[in-house]
Amino acid sequence: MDTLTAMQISGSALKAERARLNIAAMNLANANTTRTIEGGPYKAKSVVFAAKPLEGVNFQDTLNSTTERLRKVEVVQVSEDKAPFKEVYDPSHPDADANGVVRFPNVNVAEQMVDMMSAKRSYEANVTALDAAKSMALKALEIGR
Amino acid sequence: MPINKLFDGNIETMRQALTLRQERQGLIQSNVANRETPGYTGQDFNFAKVMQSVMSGQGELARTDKGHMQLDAMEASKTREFASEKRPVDLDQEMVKMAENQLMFQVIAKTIGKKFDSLRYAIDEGGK
Repeated sequence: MDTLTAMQISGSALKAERARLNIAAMNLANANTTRTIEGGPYKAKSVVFAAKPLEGVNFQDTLNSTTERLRKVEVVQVSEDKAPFKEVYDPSHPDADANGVVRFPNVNVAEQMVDMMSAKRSYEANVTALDAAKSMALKALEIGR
Repeated sequence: MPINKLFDGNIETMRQALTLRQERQGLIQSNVANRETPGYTGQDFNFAKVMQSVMSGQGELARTDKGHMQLDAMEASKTREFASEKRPVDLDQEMVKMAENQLMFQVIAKTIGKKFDSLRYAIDEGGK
C-alpha cells in the first residue's frame, strides 16, 4: 500500500460522514412537514454504513496482508425510521383527519442533533487522519534532501 | 572496505521500519473511517513484535521448491502478528496510536536522512 491508498480510505469516510450530516439536516428541516410527494407526513431517515474493500488495488498489493485488511466506508442504504408518527390534536390544521388529529413526522430532534454532532466529530477525526498521512508522505520526500 | 559496506544493513532495516509504519497508518485510518460501521472490528499489529521478528530473521519461510512464491520476512511476520481484535473501534485510542505512529515515522525518516548526510559528508570530504 502507499500513502494514496490511506488517503482514499479517509476520503471515503469524509464522503460518508457528509452524507450522514446531510440526512440529519434533512430530518431537522422536515421535522414538521406533514405533506410529502409519497403522501403522508415525512418519515425520518438514517444512513447505513458498510465497510468495503478498496478498489483499484494492483496484484502486488493484494498479496500484502495489510492492504488486504484495509476497508473503506460507504453509505449503502438510506433507511426510513419505522417509529410511529407523532399525533397531535389540532382540528384547525388543514391536514387534520376526521377526529381532528394531525400526524407529524417521527423525527426526534434531540436524536438528530446528537447524530449531527457525532457525524461532525467523525469528520474531524478523519480530517486529522488524512492530515497525518499527508505529513508522513511529505516527511518521506525530505529523505536525502 | 568494499563499497557495499557503505550502504550497510541499517538502511534496509530502516526502510522496512518505514514501510511498516506506513502500513500501520493505513490500518489506523481504516479503523477511524469505519468507527461507526456495524460489524467492523478494529485491526492493528504490534510494530515492535513484527520488527523484532523481521530483524531476527524468524519470518523467513523455507522455499523447498523453485515454484514456491517468495514471501518476504516482513510479510510472514506481519501475518502472524495481526491481532484481529474482536471489539469496536475506540476513537481516542486510535488517535493516540496515530499520533505515536506519525511521530515514529518522522523519527525513522529523519534518521535515514542523517545516514545519507553522513555518507555525503564522507564522499565530499574524502575527495579533498
